[in-house]
Amino acid sequence: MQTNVLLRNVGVADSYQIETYVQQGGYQALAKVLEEGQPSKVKEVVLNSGLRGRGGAGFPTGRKWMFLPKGVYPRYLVCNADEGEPGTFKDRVLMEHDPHGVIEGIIVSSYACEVEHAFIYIRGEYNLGYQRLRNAIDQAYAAGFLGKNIRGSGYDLELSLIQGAGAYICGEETALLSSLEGKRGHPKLKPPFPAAQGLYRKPTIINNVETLFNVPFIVLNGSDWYRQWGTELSPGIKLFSVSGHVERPGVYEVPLSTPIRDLVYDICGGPKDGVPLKAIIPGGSSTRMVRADVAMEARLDYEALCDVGSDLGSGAVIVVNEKTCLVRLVARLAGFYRHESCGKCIPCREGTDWMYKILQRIERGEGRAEDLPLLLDICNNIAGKSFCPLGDAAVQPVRSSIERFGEEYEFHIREKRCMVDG
Amino acid sequence: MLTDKSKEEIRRIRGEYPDPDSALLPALYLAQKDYGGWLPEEAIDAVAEIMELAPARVGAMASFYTLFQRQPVGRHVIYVCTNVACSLLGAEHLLEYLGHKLGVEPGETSADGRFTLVEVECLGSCGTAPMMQVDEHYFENLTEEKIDRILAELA
Amino acid sequence: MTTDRMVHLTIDDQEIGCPEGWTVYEAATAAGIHIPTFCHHEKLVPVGACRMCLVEIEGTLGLQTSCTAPVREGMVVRVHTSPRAVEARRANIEFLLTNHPLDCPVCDKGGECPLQDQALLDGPGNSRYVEEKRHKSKRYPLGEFIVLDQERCVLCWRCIRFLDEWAGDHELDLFGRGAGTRLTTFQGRPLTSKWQGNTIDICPVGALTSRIFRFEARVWELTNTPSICPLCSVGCNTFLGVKNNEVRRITPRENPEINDVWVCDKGRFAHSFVDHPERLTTPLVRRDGKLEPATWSEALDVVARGFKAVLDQDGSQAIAGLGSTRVSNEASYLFQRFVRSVLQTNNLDHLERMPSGATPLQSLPNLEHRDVIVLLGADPSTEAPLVELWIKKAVLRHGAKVIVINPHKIELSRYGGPWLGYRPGSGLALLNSLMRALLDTGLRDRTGRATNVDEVRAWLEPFGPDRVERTTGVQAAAIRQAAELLAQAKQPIILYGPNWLLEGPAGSAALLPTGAPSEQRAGLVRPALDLVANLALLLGGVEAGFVPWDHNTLGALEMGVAPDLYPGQQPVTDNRVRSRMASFWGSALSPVRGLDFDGMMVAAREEGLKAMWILGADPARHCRVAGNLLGQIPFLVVQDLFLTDTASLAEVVLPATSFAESDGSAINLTGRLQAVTAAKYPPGQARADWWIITQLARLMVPPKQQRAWAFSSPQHVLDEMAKVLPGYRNLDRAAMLAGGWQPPRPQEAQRRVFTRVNAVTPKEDPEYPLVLCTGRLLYDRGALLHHAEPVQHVVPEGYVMIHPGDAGQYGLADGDGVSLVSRAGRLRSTVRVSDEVAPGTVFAPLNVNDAPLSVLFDDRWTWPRVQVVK
Ligand SMILES: Cc1cc2nc3c(=O)[nH]c(=O)nc-3n(C[C@H](O)[C@H](O)[C@H](O)COP(=O)(O)O)c2cc1C
Ligand code: SF4
Ligand code: FES
Repeated sequence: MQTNVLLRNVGVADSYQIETYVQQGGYQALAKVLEEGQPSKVKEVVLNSGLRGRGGAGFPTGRKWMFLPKGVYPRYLVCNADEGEPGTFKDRVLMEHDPHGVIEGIIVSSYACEVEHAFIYIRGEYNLGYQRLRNAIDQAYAAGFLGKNIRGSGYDLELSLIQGAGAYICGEETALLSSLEGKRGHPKLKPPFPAAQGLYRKPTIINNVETLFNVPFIVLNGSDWYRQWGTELSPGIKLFSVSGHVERPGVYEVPLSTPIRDLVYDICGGPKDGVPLKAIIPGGSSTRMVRADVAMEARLDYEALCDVGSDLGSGAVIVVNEKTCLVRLVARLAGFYRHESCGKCIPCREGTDWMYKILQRIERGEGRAEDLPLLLDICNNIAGKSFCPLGDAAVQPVRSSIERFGEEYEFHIREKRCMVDG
Repeated sequence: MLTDKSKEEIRRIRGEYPDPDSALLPALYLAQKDYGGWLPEEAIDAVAEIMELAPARVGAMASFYTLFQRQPVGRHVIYVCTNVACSLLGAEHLLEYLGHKLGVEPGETSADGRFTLVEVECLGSCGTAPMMQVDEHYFENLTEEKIDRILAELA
Repeated sequence: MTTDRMVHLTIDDQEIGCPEGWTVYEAATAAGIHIPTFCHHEKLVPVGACRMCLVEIEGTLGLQTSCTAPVREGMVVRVHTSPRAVEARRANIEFLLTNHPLDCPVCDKGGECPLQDQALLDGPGNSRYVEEKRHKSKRYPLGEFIVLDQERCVLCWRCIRFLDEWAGDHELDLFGRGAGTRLTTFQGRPLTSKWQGNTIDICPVGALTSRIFRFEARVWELTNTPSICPLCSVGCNTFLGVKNNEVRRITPRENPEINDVWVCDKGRFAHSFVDHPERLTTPLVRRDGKLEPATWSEALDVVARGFKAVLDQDGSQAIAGLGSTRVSNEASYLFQRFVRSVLQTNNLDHLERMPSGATPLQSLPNLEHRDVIVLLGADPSTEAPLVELWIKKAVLRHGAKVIVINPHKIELSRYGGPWLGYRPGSGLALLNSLMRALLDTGLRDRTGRATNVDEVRAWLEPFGPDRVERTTGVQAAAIRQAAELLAQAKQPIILYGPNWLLEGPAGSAALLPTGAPSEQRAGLVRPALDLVANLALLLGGVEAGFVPWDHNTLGALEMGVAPDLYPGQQPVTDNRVRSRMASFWGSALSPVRGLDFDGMMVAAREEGLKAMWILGADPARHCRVAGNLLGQIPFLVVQDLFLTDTASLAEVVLPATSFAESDGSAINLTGRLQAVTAAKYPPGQARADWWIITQLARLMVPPKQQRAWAFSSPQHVLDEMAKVLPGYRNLDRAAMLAGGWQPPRPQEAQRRVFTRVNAVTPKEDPEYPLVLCTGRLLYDRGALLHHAEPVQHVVPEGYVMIHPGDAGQYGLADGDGVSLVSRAGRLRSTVRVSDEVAPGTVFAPLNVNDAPLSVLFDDRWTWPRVQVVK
């Protein structure tokens, strides 16, 4: 049930050194595309593979690449390594254990998109990942995989590594660009979309680490190979970060459309200490929480999770057991979004603040009957009205928990204490 | 003071990017190192000058990001994640434990100037929760005993 | 990106046509459909941040910000007919109000606050917010002019964007993030931008308010009268907000041809001179050596008798009139008419004169589209701020380059364009050298229209950039870089200022001995003008515009306040013109060219000048020598707002009105005729210039000429001007009142010939090794500003700027107290060591300390040589 493609180097000694990587068959995809010399063919195979963005939104990668305006140069590629979505830690594993895989993914994708300067924007806290990447980039330059005239192909690529400094919003692609341009991390107006006008107002492709990491495998093995897994709309393999109340949390690689139950029970060893589960947040804190019993019947793909009223998101499965106070958990998440709202737009800036204050008050036992409809109203007034999707994300835990676990809130408000902790 | 080495490095980085302003993040990191872990007013002015940007622009930038400190910090900064996954496994309790041990509230620096305790959002260690970051290092699967050991080893 | 193509769309069931490239917000607004906004401002790049302007657009998911959505053919938009959009906007106001203080009753914005209006219109009736409000700083001064209330701020970014996009002064920004975001300056530092006042106007709430206006009045108590700012040659359009006969506030009045919707802080905040307690409120007559209050009839009687006595005894050549570059056209016109027809003399001049060969700038907005702007002895940032704003627009939005040719660096040097910092007196050589370098770039094809290029090449031979390096102090590389930029420029323009004109006498081969006839000296500005014309011709006949300092410099010249020119710059020596004027004015006129100011001073020294009338000028302050000579004139009459240095020498002082107290007109630097309207009554017995002149004329002229002086209002004077001035027949008063009227520009013969200008190196003087050059600061202690309390706080102490090399040589350090010594006098000052001044030169700003620099000048045409001693 688990596959061993993306994580094949994890656990190998010195997996982050270039020699190891090359020994394991690394930089073959790069050699192949340089030899063929047809960027458009690379784009095509990625398009056909049906690979979807692993950063959270699930946008088909090949289609995104096709949006690049013809004949406009320079173009840039940005690898989004800001990984800030609570519950998500898969990119970290790739960068720490297989940095050359990340780099090869970037080079091959840059080649496909005719990019001359690529950037990795890594979150500031990932120091080990930063050092491993720094080292790997230097090695790749030294080996002629980066820089001028890569391996005699005539193709030039610069790769810059830049460290974020603690702002979740900078994972949002346009905010990331602002940050990379040396500005406060505020999202930018779309359109123009980055593919048309992104970094330094030039065409820019932004992809998640895992997304780009998949590309060399697809290039080497073909799109049919990739489509042996998953569904028509969710093909391939995916990393899942599992956390919370399970016996063996961690990052696992499984085909898309694997049942959640298999992941939680078989791979992760089931509920921690055998305590029954209450809720699952299947795709990171920005996706709606689902009752555990409902979730256990669902599969891990974009469509199936949509059917149970949630999303695949970044593939961060947070498992919550019965002994957890959901009001408290949601208040904590509301605090997160309040803290991470960039402050540019009114609905998100004021709405997240307001929601947080109400939830805290309920938790303190000072809730009022009118607070639940008020909270839902605030959710409605943020969702779809804010400047960027952070506002929409902030609403998800609040709205889904009130809708699906309303009794816990009602208890809190009525009894002025917690249903679980007492 | 911004060291000559940092100035040199900032100049080099400015040249690495299509737009020199992109060097602002790394420049602030370098300055923060030079100034003992935080960015006093003087540090912002120094960065502004070498980056050829208005101090307001640089100060505003620094204030956006949580890893840039605008207040003095202790010799070590301890970041404790209390986001969902860590919280599900007892992070709040550990934060309290640390606070008690160091005699500080989150956001404060211990009286001996050794530690600053900070509560932070998810650091991507959810699979090895609960966790804390001390300076640049992650410490995971924490217990009280483990914390005691780690602190003891730090100068 | 507006094009000519029209797009048709439906907004709230209304069919609308608008140009392609507009936004939905613009289309709706043009059609009278109101959409609320906070972050959007028509003069700023849209950011779509506040989400206040959300509308529903058929066929798109979710709501869209109308301020950023471009119109499309066939688009269907719902603003007020979409329940979803209405609800979203209501909710947005609710969100904003959760943390907005409820202090409208004490807020300066109350009554003109978009948030207040919006809350009443769309907002929720009552608040569902029961949590504690966030607390931030209130009443927090950001420097001398502005106070910030962070709690009221809605974080719309308008102020930040204005300062950034227009002024290039990134001083305000957001600090922190999310709900904790605060608007402020870095570390609360005072704002220094000269444009900061505009943030008050564009702030949609009462977060940024004026420290000057604070608590002066509620806005609805003000009467706002359209006016023109009198403080520089731009003539920004303004409103004077008056309460209880005092000017409380000045706000900009939109005029796309001049100030757009902005005004500089000097114009906005420096109005208190109008209501200053030291304003003259009654005529003064000298009795027993002391100036004492008198009635108008007493004072005018003394003047009339005084003038008559001189006319009878010494003849009309013993009388002179000195006019002003600050008074209205009507005043200037009547003044020269009085001097010419009643006093029968052409002894008439004004200081700060624009040379008649100079051409005014054609348009301010066009500056935005210039790709290379040459500033020649002109510093728009201090002399004519709005010019700077348009130049910054060219730089910041379109990447224009600025070449600064000036002995000291100016603010506009900051965009990295070449700075050719020459030693005063070597400017002609420098410009020749620049032309030589330009020819070396092979720009021949541009000069097609010129007939003598090859000659020029030969003349310029000795001016190779390397060769002038020593005399000018300018690096050859900088000259070449400037030449390179100019050679590639598609739309260059040259702007030159009064300081450039001084290069003529100083650097010209035709240097005259002191004591030469004054007309000849004045003519010495020619070489400086010729060189400008040469450069413009070499660049292919590009525009070169003069940027004067004073409000009505062009008006004074155009009205004929000059020894040799009648109104409309018609020569007094032309018999036909003279007889026309004589018939207009009902009196014979002198055919003799009059004395200019220097001539008057020579005459005073030789005791040939017995009476003089000075209107709105203070030569005693600007030139110590002149002050002494004025003191020797037996009958001096001065008309002004304050008891100036000059006025205290007078026999009779007549209290005049300020721009805020009388109707009139002025001509700005682009030649636009603009109306100034009285906004309040003058203090005490002060009277309008036209009235004073008219009254005096009636006392002096014989009965049959009384009709010729029957003016009962400045409008009557304007009627006569329209008849007398060539081209003014079609004067459009409505236009003049609305946005200014542009008289037809005289058709200039296109120059095709280069004029040879020889440049000499001024002789060194080992005893006085440095050259002093002066210039203006934005805020100084000049005549009017001196009486504007709020800006006095930001005027620096006097200083003298010296190059580090020279400082080293003379053992001077930053902050040293020194004496500046010239052959004429000495002055105390403080050293500022800076590489922003050319070597061999010292720079000292005019009018900042009490001892005027004028003591160092021995004539007003050459920069004095000085030594700086500890
Ligand atoms: C608030 C917010 C935070 C985000 N954080 C991340 C992130 O940390 N990493 C990431 O790859 N994408 C993140 N995204 C998604 C990016 O905007 C973008 O869609 C993604 O990087 C595109 O890459 P992909 O197509 O390969 O997924 C975030 C989006 C939002 C709205
Ligand atoms: S929704 Fe608005 S305030 Fe929130 S992060 Fe996006 S732009 Fe910033
Ligand atoms: S006015 Fe459109 S978003 Fe602010």
